[in-house]
Amino acid sequence: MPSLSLAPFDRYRPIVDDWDAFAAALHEPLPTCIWTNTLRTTSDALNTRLLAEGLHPERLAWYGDAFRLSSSDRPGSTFSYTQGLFHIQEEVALLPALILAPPLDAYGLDLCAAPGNKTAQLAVLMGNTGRLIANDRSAHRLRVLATTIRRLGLTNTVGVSCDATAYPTAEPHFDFVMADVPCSCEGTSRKHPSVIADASPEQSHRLARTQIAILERAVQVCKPGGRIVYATCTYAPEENEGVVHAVLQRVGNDVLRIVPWEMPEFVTAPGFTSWNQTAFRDDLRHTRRIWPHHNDTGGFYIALLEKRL
Amino acid sequence: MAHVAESIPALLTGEARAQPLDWLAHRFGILPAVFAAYDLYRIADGDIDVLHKAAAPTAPLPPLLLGLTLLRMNHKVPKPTTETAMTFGHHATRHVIALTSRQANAFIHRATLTLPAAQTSRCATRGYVLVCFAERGLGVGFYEPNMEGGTLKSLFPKAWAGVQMQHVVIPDGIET
Repeated sequence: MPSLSLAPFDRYRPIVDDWDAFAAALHEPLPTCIWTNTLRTTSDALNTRLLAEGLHPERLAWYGDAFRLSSSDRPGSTFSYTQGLFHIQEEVALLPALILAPPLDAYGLDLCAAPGNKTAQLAVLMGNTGRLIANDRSAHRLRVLATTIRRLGLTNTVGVSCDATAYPTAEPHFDFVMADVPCSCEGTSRKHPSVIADASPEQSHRLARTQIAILERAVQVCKPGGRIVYATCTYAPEENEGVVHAVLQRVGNDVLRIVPWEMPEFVTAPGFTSWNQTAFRDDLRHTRRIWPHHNDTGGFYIALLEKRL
Repeated sequence: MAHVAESIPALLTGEARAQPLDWLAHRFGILPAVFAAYDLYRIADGDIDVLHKAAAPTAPLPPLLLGLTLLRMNHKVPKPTTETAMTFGHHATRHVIALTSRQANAFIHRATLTLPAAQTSRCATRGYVLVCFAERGLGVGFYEPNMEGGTLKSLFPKAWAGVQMQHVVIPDGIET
């Protein structure tokens, strides 16, 4: 890959543990990753099938139902894909749904669902049971979700369209809410290098206003005892720790708490408790950052929250 | 008499639900019990969607996507969708054809197949049939019987659920 200008990321130098490794990772193509549709097959059977179709699957150490493929593999052109035996999704993006760990027979909401990869994961993790509402502000973008639902054979998912910040609170409360919010997508630069040039604190501050509103709505529609995952694919603390901090301060510790999480065999870093002379709550260290050079993935930020009352 | 507009999508109950299920049982041997845990809905273009009962949407947001489309109703007879074949096709006992891998390859590339009597023994009459390969439902075809067996016209979509089928090849020797 030609050399990228990482100048817009310079403001992160103080918070990246190994800048050279970070920069090197951003110059490498992103590995392809797929996960098993356990509604239709097992990871062992899929592994056998992928080999028969000439692919080169390598099971992930941290998640046995998913595989990395070689850069020459074209999983989207396989018969197994046609049959809905697996779904293609970037490795780091698998984490939010697994951390949220939707129970069977639950009532869940994916607030910003399109294009629907995490929605599909949630539906399959629920074993096609319960009810999963997939919401997106754009009815047009929901159409991509429709093709995934059809291909994977999902029968527990309903698609709706409204502004996430105004999701109706008259709904019975949800057991879980996925808030994988629109963000500056800085962590996707290995796929979309153009996001780097667009990165700026101004953009992040602007996005944070909507992100706070979406997370507040997620908290409102989640029932007591329910769980929320707040996730972004960006490095900007304004859109990550800043948002979780703001919402926690607003709703209070009686309503919401951060739940520590970790994923064995997958390296994550603690969320920051300060940024640019702004102090955040101490418990933000229990939210996690994924840097691209730690696991050879894209970048992500994930906070697991519990609605208390 | 005042006419109450049917809200779309409309949950099918009673006779409206029994009719399509009876047709699936009659044509394909897919018994109504297969759908005991599912609701059927009529959606805006007259098609019928299928969704687990537990997932039934509640107000106030109108559902734009509801599970899978079970049947297309804008034909002379109800037409199963490819996703119906893939999700429920393995329950079929009649008007179902099992293909070899070479035939299945031709089928997904929209070729018309000539089949011997041994392969068409579960097909009595002309019309839509469900197509299976390696014990999984694969798609929908149109069957015309003849003296030697029959022909199967493939109704597999050129692009199915985002897949451009011209690039897809079924490898030899895969069983499931």
